[in-house]
Amino acid sequence: MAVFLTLFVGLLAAGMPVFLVLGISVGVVFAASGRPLVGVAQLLINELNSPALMALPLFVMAATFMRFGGIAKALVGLAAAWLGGLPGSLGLVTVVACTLFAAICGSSVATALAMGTILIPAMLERGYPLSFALGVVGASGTIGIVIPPSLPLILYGIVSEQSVPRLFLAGILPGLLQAAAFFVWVLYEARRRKFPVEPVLPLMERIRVTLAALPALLVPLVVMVGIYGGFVTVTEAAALSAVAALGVSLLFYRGFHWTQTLSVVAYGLRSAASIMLIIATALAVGHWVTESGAPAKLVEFLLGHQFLPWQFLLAINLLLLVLGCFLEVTATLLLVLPILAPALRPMGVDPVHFSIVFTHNMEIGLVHPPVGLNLFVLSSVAVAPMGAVIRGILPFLVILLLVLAVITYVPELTLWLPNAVFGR
Amino acid sequence: MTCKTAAMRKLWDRAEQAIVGVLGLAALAIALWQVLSRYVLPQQSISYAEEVMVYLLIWAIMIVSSQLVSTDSHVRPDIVRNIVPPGAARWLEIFNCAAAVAFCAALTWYSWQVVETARVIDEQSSSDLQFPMWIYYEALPAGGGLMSIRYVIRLIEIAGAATGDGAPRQPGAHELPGVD
Repeated sequence: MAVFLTLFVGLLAAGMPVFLVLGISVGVVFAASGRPLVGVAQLLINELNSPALMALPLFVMAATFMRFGGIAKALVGLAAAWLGGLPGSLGLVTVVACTLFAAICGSSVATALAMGTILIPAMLERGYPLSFALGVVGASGTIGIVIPPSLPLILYGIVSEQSVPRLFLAGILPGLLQAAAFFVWVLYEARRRKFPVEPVLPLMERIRVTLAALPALLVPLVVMVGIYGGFVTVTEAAALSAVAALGVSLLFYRGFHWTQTLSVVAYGLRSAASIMLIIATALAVGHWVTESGAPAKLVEFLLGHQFLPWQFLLAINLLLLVLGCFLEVTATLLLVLPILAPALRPMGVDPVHFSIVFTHNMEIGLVHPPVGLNLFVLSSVAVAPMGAVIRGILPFLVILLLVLAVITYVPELTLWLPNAVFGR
Repeated sequence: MTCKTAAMRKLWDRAEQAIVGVLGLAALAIALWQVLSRYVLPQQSISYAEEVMVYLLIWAIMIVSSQLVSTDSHVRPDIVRNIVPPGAARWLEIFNCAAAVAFCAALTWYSWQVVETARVIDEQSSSDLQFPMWIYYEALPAGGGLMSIRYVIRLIEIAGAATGDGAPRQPGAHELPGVD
């Protein structure tokens, strides 16, 4: 374990790609324990051979189609049509459009990216301060992974053997709470700092824009009806949402020409590849961790020292916040969850509740300096200095931490909806 | 970089993209057929559709991974690289690329042995398709091999240049709709 941790931290500090860090670490511990390295290769390719896991690349492909295909733009239009007249309209549009996009996209980075490329230039043009524009997009983008579909929740479901549709439902209320908190904060800031007000559109115009956004809203509808109607598996729903997004993009919004389809598909798969390699190597590490007996030792330790559930949750939150500063979401999830999952039941923590606590922590990691991935995305999209991004994100970080406290200590917020739908 | 190698590399990128695009579309088509046939034409449904979709997607993902190397868009923490002096950052990057070459080469070698073994023992999938597993396993050495070549090119470029660490990174290098 000590060899593994030293190597892991060292390589990560050298700025090596995460999948290489994980791959090299697992190779070294395998070799050190005298096992043939062919086993690592076999493990990697076997871990990937899983239909459930394919929901991830398919959802990433869907997000790519939505971003390039004009669906993201239609959703922004929809939010803008109904939020004119309020102070800081564009800031509010960002929060609402991100929430809508989150319902069809399972990734925060993808959400921040899709919304950032449209809304940051728009906000700057209307005279919003750069740091605010970056902050609101980065923070609202994180809603992408709590509101279903959610890539981390799919992985969580696979690793801890929970029902993914149940986890998806659990994310809805906490996601909406977060969106509401951001909305209120933006309103307050807009009043205080006199952000511009967009004109109220005439009713006919609003109806026209809403109708134009309907095909875009078809995509989440396909996923929700498919999954909760019991018609399709999560993976099939992911494939359907990709097909629907492709169809809607080509037929309605025409964000890209049909001749570009192959390159857009390849682009989507390239984005998916960056996480799939991390997932394959992280699963191999997780395999090794489980075999090492560390999870059982943790349970023993926790029970032996009579930790209370709230202390356990607090300690986990702190650990995840620290890890989230240095690691990417999937890697954190796949490294930590195999150790923690066996400890949940004995500690009296509901695994469904914990999934949302975990995911929310990952959100914070995404916008937490120094290595939040959303921060990097924003500074590269807007060609802005990192300092401005961090300054903008700070107030939202405080709100995220408050929401985390609510999610952690009010399990009903998470559990009410899935229990109401599926029973206990 | 001469014009000729640049043109060749562009051709290589294009070829990869076309292959990956076709594999991806095929995967979507099969998934769509699986759902449609279940409700519309049950007698036409393919029992192993999901299995084939996995093979197509994994092959596509392994092939396209090499482009993550050439565009430097593998997810990585670059905090240290951004705060150390440029000279040190260059050496760090040379170290990273060398380690990457070693890892990818080892991956290619060992996963090739997995392929060979599967071929020798004639390993087949347990579905009706009885798919020869070595064809699926082959995706790993293919991806590892392509990534090795890309990393060697990157290593030569960085070590060959007197200064610089492979940066400036392409704008949008972080354009990764990842899991997060």
